[in-house]
Amino acid sequence: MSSAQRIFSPIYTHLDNDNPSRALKECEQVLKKITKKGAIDKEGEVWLTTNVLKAIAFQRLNRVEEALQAAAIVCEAQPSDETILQMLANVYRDLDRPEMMCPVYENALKTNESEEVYTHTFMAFLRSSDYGKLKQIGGKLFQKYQKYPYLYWTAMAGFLQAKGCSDERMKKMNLEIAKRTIQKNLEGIETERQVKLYLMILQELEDWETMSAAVEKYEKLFTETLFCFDQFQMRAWEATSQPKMICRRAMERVEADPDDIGAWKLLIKTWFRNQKAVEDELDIVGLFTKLMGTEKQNTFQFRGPDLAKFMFSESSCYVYWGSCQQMIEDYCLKWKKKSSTVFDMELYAEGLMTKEKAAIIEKLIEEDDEVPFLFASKLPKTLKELDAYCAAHLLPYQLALSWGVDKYITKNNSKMLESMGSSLYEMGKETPIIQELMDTEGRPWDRHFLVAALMVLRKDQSRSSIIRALAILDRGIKSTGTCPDLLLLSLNLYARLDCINEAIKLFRTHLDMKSIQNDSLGYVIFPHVFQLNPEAASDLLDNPLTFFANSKKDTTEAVIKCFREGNFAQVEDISKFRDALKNSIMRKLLQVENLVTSGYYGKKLLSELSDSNASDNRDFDALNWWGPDRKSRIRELKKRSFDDLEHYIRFRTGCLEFLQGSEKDLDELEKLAVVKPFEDSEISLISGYHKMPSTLPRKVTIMTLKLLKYFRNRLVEKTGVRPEVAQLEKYRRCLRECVAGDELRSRWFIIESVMFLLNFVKSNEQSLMEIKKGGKKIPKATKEVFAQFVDLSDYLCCDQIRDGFMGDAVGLDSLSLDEDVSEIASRVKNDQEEVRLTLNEMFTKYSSNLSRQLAKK
Amino acid sequence: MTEIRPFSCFDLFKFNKVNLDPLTETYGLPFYLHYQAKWPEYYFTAEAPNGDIQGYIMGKSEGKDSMKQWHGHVTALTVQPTYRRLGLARKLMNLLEEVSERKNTWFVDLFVRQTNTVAHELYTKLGYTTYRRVLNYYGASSKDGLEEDAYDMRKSMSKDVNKETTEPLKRPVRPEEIEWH
Repeated sequence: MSSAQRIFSPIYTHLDNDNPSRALKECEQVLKKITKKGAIDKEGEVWLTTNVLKAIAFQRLNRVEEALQAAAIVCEAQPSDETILQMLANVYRDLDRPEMMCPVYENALKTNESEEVYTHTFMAFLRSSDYGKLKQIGGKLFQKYQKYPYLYWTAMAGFLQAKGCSDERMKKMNLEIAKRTIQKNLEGIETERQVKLYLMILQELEDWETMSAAVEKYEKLFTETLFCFDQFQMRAWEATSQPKMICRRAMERVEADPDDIGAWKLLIKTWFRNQKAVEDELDIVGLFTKLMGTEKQNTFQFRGPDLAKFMFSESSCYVYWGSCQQMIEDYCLKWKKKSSTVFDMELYAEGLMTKEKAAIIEKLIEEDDEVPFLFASKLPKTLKELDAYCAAHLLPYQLALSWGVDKYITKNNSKMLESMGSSLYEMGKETPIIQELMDTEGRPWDRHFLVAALMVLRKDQSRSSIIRALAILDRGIKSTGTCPDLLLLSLNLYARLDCINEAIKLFRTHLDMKSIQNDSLGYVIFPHVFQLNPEAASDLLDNPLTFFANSKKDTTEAVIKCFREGNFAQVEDISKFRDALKNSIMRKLLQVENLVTSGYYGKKLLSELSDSNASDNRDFDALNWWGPDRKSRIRELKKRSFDDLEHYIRFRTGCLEFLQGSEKDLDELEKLAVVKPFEDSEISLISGYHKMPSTLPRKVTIMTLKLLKYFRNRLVEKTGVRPEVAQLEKYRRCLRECVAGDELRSRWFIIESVMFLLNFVKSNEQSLMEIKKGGKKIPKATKEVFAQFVDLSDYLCCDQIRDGFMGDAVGLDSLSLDEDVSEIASRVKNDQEEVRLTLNEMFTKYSSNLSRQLAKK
Repeated sequence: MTEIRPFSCFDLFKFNKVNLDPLTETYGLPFYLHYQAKWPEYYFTAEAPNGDIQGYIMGKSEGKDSMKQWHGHVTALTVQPTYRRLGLARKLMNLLEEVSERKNTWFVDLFVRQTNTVAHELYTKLGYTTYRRVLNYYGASSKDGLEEDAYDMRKSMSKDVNKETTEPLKRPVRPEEIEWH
């Protein structure tokens, strides 16, 4: 072991063992020894390395400023050693300051022009998205080392620079340069990845002539990726108006795979747009006939041609295959044993009248000859057959939900479906076909319970209906291995009833949501958890906050990998994805709520929150359910809820800014406290979106902040006017209304107000102590204002408010629950009670603390 | 009816109907991005006409050619319950095999839980045979706290004319014995 290794070994060990504090101490000791000895100059390896390790230790301890200071010391020494540079780059990367590394590397190049330092300099500029400089470094790298990958790095840098240009002229110029960069060595193009980059540039330039020629010339190089050559060729044909070629290729693809929807779409679109030019040569109806003929010879059936008929009929006024009603009926009868059929048909029945839809459903019920097996107690012998039976039996009821045919959405049908699900479970559970399934697998009858519950919720979305639906889902969950639909719908329903503990259990344990799902599905839980169980929220947040914190680094490293692998075609997709994560609305919500509700008003995330770009990455289509205009209603809800969420985040960000001490205009903020009505509906209930807190609790927050501003001015800064008595009375009224309301989550805003006052008292301890002590120097008016403050605080913690916290929010006893729902009803009641007690406990804790603090003063 | 297309990062936001299934693991972001950046040719999404993600496959190629270990590997194959029994898994596997053929690999392999009879049956129908059993390949699950063996299943590609690379091993192996892991 060398002496340097001996010095660093304990530091590395502590860092590896996740003990940055010990590593830091060790670094300090090493640095002390160096100083004492005075033998090692400041540019020495040990001194530099120790400082970088110190920065790493600080960074791991989340002591950002100190980490930056330690790193800055190393930068000042202008290191050129590759290992030290690499370690420093990692520090800046982990601190989310990759741009700091660019000048360090540029400096290093002055004394160390090794290929490694050059490539790292390139990557440093890539990390900081400085594409102009990236292109320059890439060019130098190629010039110096004459390796062709560097030529493509340079071209890709130019492509990215062009994509970022808002000026069309500049964009074109950069693309031309990128094109010429590759054209320097056209004969040297030898891989698919290189061709792809060249074609991407030509495509962006809309240089179709060169692109067509290049597609032909390099066809043989497309040896890796399927469909890729086709895509470029189609684009070139489209741009050079060659519809016949496109149709021919699309027909070849359809014949090769009749289920290829992409090929069908292309064929039908191109055919109709260029009918006159292509119809002499291409017989599209004949193609259907041919495929149907082939299908008969095959054992495997394709749905493609049957569905393409609908696409074809939609695009034309011709009726080749009978009326729409007839086509749908035929399709449903043919494909009733597939569980996808209901989704296949949701797109095409919009034009039908209710009686036509009802006729199809009636026909399917009549034709459902599979039911008798239940009475004969004879289950199918294979899982495939049992799946098919269940799908066929459910189809008419799913269609009734999907098309909104109320006649079939009845209490009796709901009961019948649930009972069918239960019977299948009882009969099937001991059979070999079910016994062979894994514990965690779904069962063929799962959707019977799901459809039964959805039928209950279609009728109305009252609390009684939600509890009834929950009871059905619960029985379904007990009869399956794992069915995500049953679990996710239960989660959404529990959350709607403020049963946050049940919802958390389902989110974290049963559905095991994590990683990217925190962003796409976090909306089902995060918006409520802060107000209903703040302690659980802080626990629950670890995972998503880490996910978001690492997402920039993860995506940037992936972009770097794309460069290293030459996979330039992926760079744009990953870069856009990085932006979507950075601007995620869920990320913003978590950040602002985390800061406000935790009572920690740190400033570090403010700039990101104030950024007006927000990306909606939420997936409102994670649950299988059926309803009229499902897709468009999901889109509409997504938009409406996004506005609701964004409005709330702006409100909370404003509150945070005020709490951080900025001179925020509270009148402006008060406007944001007024919430536009957000109507609850079946779709919002099922999708799991719970509207953001209403105007009343937001008003409590605003009024608290306004009063705090008055008190801060009068008691600390000794300026401003006294709060008016009427204002204080209005505040009291607002508090009473809030605590008496039936929304449990509103109560959190009262607790939060107590926290705001408490923080005010703690951070102005000295000033308040002096006022309390009195004395001649304190003006009488100030003493009176202080008395007002104490009065207000006392009122906020008074028995009247406390009693409100003790009261039930939801009177379940008053609901008419005429079925066997007692188990769920008591689970709901217990959970609500737990939430109420948690909030009550928090209120008591903070209000007693406030009283104690004021008494002390 | 399906559109098979290259996987996009944005699919990660909407693959929940597939990934909420407990048999489909949701990995950390770097895992998906690594595959996207390194082996995009092995990464496909199956999309329904209504935009639903029906399923996806991710894979890679690895191993030394000189030792006849250059092969395609199926990392994840999953189809959401609504779109099962439509031949989608077969179609996605065919694509992965086609890519492996293009890359001139010797065989394609995959790992399947010993208890997952449905998957085992599917791969058998697709021409895969059990090459070896890997002891305790799957870590203890939170549900029963037990480790589980895996079947390492293989199918020879056209390069392996004599099907040497799929000749079953006589004894089970431990995870650390797997050459390229």
